[in-house]
Amino acid sequence: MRFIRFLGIAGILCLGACASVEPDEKEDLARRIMQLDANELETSYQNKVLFSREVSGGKPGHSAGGGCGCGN
Amino acid sequence: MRLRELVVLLLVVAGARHAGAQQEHPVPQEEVVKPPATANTSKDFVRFAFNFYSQKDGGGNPHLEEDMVVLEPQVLVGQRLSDRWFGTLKVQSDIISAASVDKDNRFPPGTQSGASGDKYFGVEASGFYAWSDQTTVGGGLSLSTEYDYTSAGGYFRWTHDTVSRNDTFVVRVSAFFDTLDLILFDGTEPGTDTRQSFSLGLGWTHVIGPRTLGTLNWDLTTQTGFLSTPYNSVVAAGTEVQEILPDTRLRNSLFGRVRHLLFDDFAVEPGLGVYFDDWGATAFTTEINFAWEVLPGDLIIRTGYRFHSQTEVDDFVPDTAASIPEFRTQDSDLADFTSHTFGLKFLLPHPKFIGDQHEVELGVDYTFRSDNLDAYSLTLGYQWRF
Repeated sequence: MRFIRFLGIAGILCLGACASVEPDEKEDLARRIMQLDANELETSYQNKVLFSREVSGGKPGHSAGGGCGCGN
Repeated sequence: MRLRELVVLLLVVAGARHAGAQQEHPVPQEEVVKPPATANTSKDFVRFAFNFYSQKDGGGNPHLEEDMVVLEPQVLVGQRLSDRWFGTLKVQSDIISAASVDKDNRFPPGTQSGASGDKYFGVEASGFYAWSDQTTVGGGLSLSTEYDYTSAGGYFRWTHDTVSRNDTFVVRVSAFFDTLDLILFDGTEPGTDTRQSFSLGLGWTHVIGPRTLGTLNWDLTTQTGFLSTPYNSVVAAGTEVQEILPDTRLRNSLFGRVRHLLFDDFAVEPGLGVYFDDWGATAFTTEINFAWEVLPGDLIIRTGYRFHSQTEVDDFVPDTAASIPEFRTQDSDLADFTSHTFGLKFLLPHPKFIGDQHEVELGVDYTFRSDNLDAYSLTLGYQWRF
């Protein structure tokens, strides 16, 4: 629990302390390998697999219940 | 955490953010390179995927055969409707074959049908409107049907970029209204029931540095109605009875990820998530994903590892229980277990042998579960941008 708290505080401090990134510095962020999510179909499929097999109900950013008889 | 520590922490963060804000200034839109938080929707596209999922019963519920195979074709069409409107239509189907029969011959031969199956068909139509250069609103409606389950749903999503384009905030609300035909483990059919699910999701994507992005998602879901799985049973105390679970559930999940361009052609993304609900289940997930641009523009290899650990719900009943409680389940997916998933995907963003506007991908995942309900899936995807 202490470790998770440490990670949370460190993360917040890091994010808070970051200087603003200028537009001309973001070229690398627009690259394909920097996309946070692959594509909607892949995310939708993975969400369904996790929803039906785990108690935690799917991928982040999706409803954790309903819509399918494959899970609770 | 003590209150004093919290106040000091907030002051430090606020000070740092203020210092950062001093350096920010509005920039002309044409100079902005937006962080790629979502898939590129600047062109019309059609995407197909075919997924194959296979689960092997090497353990799990000792009274139920849990082998399963699912074939899932999917189609997603995206179309720019005007300067400000973008629409998508998603159609998918599941063809499921599952054993779902007793493993220990509790029923006389011939009284169960043997291998069973189901078919799922779902459609979702969405529309997104660019309210301004920084704000997009959108929503969608979904309908799906299975042999014994129908669902109607909808969602609304608000996305806002800050002027500097260093932060993106997302608010998402969704609702599902489901109807179940109750078919119990012993073949009796006591009628129909309903299930309602409402979710609120908050997301924050932050540009941490020129080569680093972070994102944090919090999802809250509340459910009411018939939340059990009708055909699930509980075997204990010398008898077999229907699964019964509470008719309300509140679920919380928090997940954070950071993606960093470690080398010019290699990105790494560690992630950490926690989950808890008022059925007494908690879960912890950590994952690390890698993306390697092997041949710039031609081949990307993505690989990853995911560890998941969950505790059983309070109403989980071992088959050694001496009595049957009011609420009870022996669903393997609501039990205590850990899992390790390994994934590998090959992505051809612009395959020369088809043409620049096409994309092909091939992926495989394998999951080892501590209760020996291992599974693997294969994915074949294709996209055409036009």
